Amino acid sequence: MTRHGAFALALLLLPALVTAAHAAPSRIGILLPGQEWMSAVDGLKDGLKDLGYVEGRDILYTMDNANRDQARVAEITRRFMAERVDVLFTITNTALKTVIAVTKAGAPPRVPVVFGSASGPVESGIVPAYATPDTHVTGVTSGSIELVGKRLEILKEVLPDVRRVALIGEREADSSLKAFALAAELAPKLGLSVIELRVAPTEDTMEVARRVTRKEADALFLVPSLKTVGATTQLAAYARSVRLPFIVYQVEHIRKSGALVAYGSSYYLQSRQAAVLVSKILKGASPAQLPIERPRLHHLILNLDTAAEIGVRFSPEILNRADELIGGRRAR
Amino acid sequence: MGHPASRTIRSRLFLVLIVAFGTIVGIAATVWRLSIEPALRLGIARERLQIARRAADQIEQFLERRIAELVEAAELSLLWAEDPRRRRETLVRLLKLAPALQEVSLVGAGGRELYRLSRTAVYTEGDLRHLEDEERFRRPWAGEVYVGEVYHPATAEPHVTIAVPVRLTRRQAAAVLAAEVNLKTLWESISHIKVGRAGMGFVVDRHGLLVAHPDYSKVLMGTKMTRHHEVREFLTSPARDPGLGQIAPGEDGRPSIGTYAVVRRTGWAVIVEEPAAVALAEVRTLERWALVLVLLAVGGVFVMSYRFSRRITRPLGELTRGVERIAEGDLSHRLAIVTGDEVETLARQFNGMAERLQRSYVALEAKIEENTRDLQALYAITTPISGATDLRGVLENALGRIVQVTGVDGAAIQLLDEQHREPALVVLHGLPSFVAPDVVGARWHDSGAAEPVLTASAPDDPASSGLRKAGFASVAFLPLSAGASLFGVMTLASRHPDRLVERERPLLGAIAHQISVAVQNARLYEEARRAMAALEAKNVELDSFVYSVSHDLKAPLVTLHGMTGIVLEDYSAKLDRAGVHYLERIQANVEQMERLIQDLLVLSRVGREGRTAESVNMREVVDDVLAGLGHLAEERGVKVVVRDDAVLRGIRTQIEQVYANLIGNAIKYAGDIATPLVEIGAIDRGEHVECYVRDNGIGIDPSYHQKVFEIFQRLKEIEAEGTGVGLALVKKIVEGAGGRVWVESTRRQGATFRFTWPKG
Repeated sequence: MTRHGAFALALLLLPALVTAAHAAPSRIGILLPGQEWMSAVDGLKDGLKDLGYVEGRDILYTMDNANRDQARVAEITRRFMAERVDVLFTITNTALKTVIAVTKAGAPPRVPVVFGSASGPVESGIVPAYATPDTHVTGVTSGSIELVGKRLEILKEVLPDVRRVALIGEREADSSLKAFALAAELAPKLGLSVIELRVAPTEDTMEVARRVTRKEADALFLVPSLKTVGATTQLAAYARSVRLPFIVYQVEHIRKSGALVAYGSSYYLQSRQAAVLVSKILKGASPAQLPIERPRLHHLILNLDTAAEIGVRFSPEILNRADELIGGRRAR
Repeated sequence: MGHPASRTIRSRLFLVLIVAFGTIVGIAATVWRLSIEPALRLGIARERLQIARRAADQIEQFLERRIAELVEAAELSLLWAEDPRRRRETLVRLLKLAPALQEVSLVGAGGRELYRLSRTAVYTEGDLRHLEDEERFRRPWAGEVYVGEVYHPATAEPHVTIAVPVRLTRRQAAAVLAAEVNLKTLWESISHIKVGRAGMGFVVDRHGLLVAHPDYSKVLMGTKMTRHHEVREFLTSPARDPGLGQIAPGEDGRPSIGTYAVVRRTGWAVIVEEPAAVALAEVRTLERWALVLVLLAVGGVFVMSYRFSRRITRPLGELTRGVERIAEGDLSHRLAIVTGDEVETLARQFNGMAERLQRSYVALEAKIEENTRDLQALYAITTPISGATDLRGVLENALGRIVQVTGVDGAAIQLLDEQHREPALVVLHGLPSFVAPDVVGARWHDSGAAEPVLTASAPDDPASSGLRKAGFASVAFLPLSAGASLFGVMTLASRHPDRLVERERPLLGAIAHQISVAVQNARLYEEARRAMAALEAKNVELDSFVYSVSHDLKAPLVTLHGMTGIVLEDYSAKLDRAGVHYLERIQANVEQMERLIQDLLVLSRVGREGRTAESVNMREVVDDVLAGLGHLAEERGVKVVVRDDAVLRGIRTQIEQVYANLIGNAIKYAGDIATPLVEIGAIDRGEHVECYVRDNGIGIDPSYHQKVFEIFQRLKEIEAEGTGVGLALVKKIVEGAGGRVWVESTRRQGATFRFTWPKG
């Protein structure tokens, strides 16, 4: 019996040994553009946990914060490449552009890149198409560039009196450029005029923002870029201080910052969605087989406290239409 | 040790079982594979079909709900036909309440788009379209709900257009409300389809384009599933029910059981599949268990049949052993088999048979013993008889023994005379003399074949009545015959009625036979003795005759010899050559006659010497003989060699005569060969000595080997000097001494005369 027992034991141990041999944990290199996008990291981790990956056993995260510095982005990318991470995870269109450039420059096989959120990689031209993306890049787009028009429309519906909209974005960021172009195209159709605040790389975002007050514009509009999104809270504070309605897009922008209106998706939810893509890549799929996904839902969020603060009243229809209301008492 | 018979029973049983089980298992397996398993697969597929059906229904419901939403919104928007703002609000609310709707548009008469609202895009007045040629307008305008084909816009998500008529009245549509439905929400319901443990489902449109799939990326890629087995089935004949229960390669290539259900509204198919291995896992487990059970059952049956066959083979083995033991002679051996079945019955019968065998054996032994006793009695009776020669004495002796051995009270023998009529000799023992044999003899004489008459079995026989009156209760008359002729009767009488009964017939017959033989022998012996005596007398007569004749013959011969000698001596001058020659011839002949007579005298004297035997040295005798014959040997150039030596017991002169004759013959018959050689020798034959005289002369033809020893026989080949008596003399002497003489020879190869003589 002992002979059989030993044999059975060996048989039982075998898969464990095999899995142990196999289970060198996968390494994810997280390139964080800035602290503001931390929720994306949470989303990724939660998503992977739901899929059964245990941190430490199956997966190891290496995170580095670029602090909105493109040079740092490139540097971190190179480092991750040298370390041969299994997946490079990043957020924002801008960072993604640099990451793609750096990883493309390296020799194959290229590190798979997954973006938890990017405002419009296809629209901004860094990725050719949704369904047949670049060979080593995939992710979940927020569609924010696309939504620029919609947001202007919503702004108009929320605040019918708005005429002049100040768009604040970066002068050099592709996402911003595309957004500016779309806005310029659509605004007239909506009967709006656009004031473009293009922050130069060396300029301070708030400095540029302070150029606009109620005298110049009727609303402040957040355009995707590293600098502007990175300054969302400050911008919201400023907008409140000058009683300018501030429209943002991701829910993270509005939840803590105190902006007035948000229409978009969520870094967290998108990254959770992207975790599925990461998992597929870890299991051996090629990013080329994984089309870029769009967020499941877009939310309309209104901040009643801010509205009260800056003296804005939302119509019942708008209130009905909103998917989420922050603060205030629900007056239905 | 092996019992071949029982081994074959067992192996035959096993063979039968193996064949039977093999056949049963084979049939069962075939039935299983051919009908039960497909039935099970069918069952599984039907169940899967239910799931597919449900999923398809869900999709139907999804579409129906979208349609319902659109219809409701359409009706509402009509209310606000005059109020664009309210109309817009209705549609905006529609978008909010129906997240699946990506875009809605209200189209008026003539296909003119009245309003267009998107979740993500911004449409203004300038973006309104003219849709009068499009299906999405014309069909609903005609009154039916329109569901378009699945398409992927630039964003890759699958969409489908649904358009419903907006009715004011029942008759005619007032407008058309169209919506682009984003099908990505189908992903949720599709990935939640639970198909067994490892199954999944996906949705394809009428062209096999993937609409929903648990792996969303595949949908975004716009994958066409036309190579999938179930998809192909669906595409070839969408209306037909899917062939259920087949195993075909699934999406991942592994054998799967799949089925599909059609979404009626759109003609899409919900395909549900499960790896066959997993779907049939229970079936396979069942199979395995069944196999285990069957094997266990088979094993059990084998074990049981083994045990049971032992029930048969063991008693059989015992039976075999029992038979062997009885065959070896142990008749007391009995089988102890208690199995309570046919084998026990057989064993019991076997024991009965052994019992009978034993009893008959005992009886047989008793009978043999009895017969042996009888034989011994017979021997006891006849042994003394065989030795005796006096007939009366023999018979008296025999009767005495018979009475002693058989236990009868009286016996008598009557021998008939030559004519077989009157008794010539009567010997009685314990019987009165009034026994009347002639009546009995007449009876036998008439009947021819004589058998003992036992009056115990024929109580009214008159011959025995006299004896019966004398008090003898059982009487037997036994015929004494030599061949077919009867020469006497033996009567046995006993006072006990059961002493001479039928059972004793063989013994009595044997006794009668023995007595007959004894009597015959006695008679023959008597005859022989008389003949021998007569012969002896004749021999003596002959010898004396020969003696006197030769003696008488001798005298005139001497005279003849003398006279012719004188004539030759004194008158040869007066005679011519012829005359002298004639006289010489006469003399030679006379000498020959003298020799012959001499030899005859010697012959007649043999046996009359009266000398006693003594030890005689052969060599000495031979040397003496050779001394006498030496000149003869020299004349013919014959070499004589004496090889051996021996001591013989006999009368010296006789031995001399033998050697003289043999050696003389050997020299005489040496013939014309170059180196005549005579060898003389002797071989010790234990009780006697075998002496030989060999020559290498002309030899004697085998046909004459007997004749040469007869008197007056001489070989014609050469003009020998013998009288023809020599070998006859040798024979007489040797045989008189108790030996034997013979010759070994062939023509031209010499002759060896051998004789045996008692050792001294």
